[in-house]
Amino acid sequence: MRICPLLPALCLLLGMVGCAKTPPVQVAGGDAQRGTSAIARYGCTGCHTVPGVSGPGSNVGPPLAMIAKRTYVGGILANTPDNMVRWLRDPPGVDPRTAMPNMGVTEADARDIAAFLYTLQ
Amino acid sequence: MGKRIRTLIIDAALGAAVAAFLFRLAADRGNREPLRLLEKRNQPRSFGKNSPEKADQEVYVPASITPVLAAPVHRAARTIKLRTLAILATLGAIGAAAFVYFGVYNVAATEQHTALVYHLLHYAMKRSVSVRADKVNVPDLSSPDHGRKGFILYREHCLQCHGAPGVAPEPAALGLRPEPLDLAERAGKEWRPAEIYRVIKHGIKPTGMPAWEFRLSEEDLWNLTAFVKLLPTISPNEYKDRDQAEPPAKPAGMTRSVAAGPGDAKAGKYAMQQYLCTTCHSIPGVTGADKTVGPPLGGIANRMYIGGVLVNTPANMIRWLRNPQEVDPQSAMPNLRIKEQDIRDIAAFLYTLDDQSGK
Repeated sequence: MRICPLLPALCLLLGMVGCAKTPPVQVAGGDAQRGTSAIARYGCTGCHTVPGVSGPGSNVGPPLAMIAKRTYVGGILANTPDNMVRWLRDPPGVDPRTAMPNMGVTEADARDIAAFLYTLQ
Repeated sequence: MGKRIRTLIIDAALGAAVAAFLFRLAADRGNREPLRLLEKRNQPRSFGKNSPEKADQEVYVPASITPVLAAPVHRAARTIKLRTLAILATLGAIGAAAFVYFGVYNVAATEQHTALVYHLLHYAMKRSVSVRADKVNVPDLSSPDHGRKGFILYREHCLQCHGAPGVAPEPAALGLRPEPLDLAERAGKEWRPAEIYRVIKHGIKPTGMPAWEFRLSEEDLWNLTAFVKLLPTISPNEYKDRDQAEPPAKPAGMTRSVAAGPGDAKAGKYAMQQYLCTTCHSIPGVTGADKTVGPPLGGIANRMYIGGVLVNTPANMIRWLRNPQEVDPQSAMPNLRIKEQDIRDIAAFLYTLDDQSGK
């Protein structure tokens, strides 16, 4: 077949369009690996579906897939590492109306969890 | 690449594509076997000379210029034909992909379309509107009351971009490409009322012309149409007089208050795109709705909380859609001034999104 050499060329060209993955946002002192186990420990999956962490597929709060790209945290804070940690530590302290409870997350755990969440892009 | 060369290449490529299409169309009409561009005919003995390989060689001549010599189509001829087509199609696809990937076409609004693209797009737009306008029933617009009400609406919603007799558009509109037309010329003189109505109601996709369907009542859409048809007859002085005589318009989106009935999911899917839900949320089944400003709406039907603050009941959904910041003053979700019926329709649609995985 004469068209054969042309097909790989087309594939190559279309492949170039494919998106390059950006490195996750860094959280000072946070470790994504430790964050995964912290998420399991605090029972985050009881309310959220978290890619990469096994759970019942809860739908109490929004799914956390692509949370790294989300513009707002909890629908109210600009999504920055500091705000994410602040939110994880005490959501009602930020927004008294929110349904997300204070889970007693420590500063160190909040940083680890945030580091993991920023890998979900 | 120089701008001139680029313009030339784009127009040449587009022209070639259009010409090829028209040629094919003509060929299809004139020839019962449009695929038969080439005919195989048997090699005359004298042509073979002394080369044994050439004796078996087949000769192809254009079918159109040798109607008398045209032999029945051979399987081999058809195979070659299809292969040629496949190669051309592949080359075309590669060319198109390269054209897109290398950003050859300049989308900057400071550079007008190339002449051919401009006229082709304008013609396509006009045809698209015209064809659909044929189905529109035009009411009687002869009463001066239509024009008077239309003027108030025009001054409120159209003047900013289109200007008016003796009045320039506002600064932001000057930078729009395609440029917002002076309606006294094109629309007022050439377009049928049904076409003007359609453009106002549905807008025009790749331009700055918005759809007013969800902002204005049906009656007001026609009032505006009536005024646009009047535009060519209004002098700058007359426009000034009207401007001073008429009171300001009511804000758009507040003019239609229809008693709300039960929600209709299909209407809701249509409506939610007109309230720009798509710019912040990912919504399964809606093209372009892949945004991450707010949470994904896949699975919203059985999510326990709305906006993270309200228990998910239909009544609360309606309350939230009506004014999120009244529920949670800190919410990033603004009040989109959604009309009551549209709220119910959108809520009905949202309750069809029961799969969290977004399918």
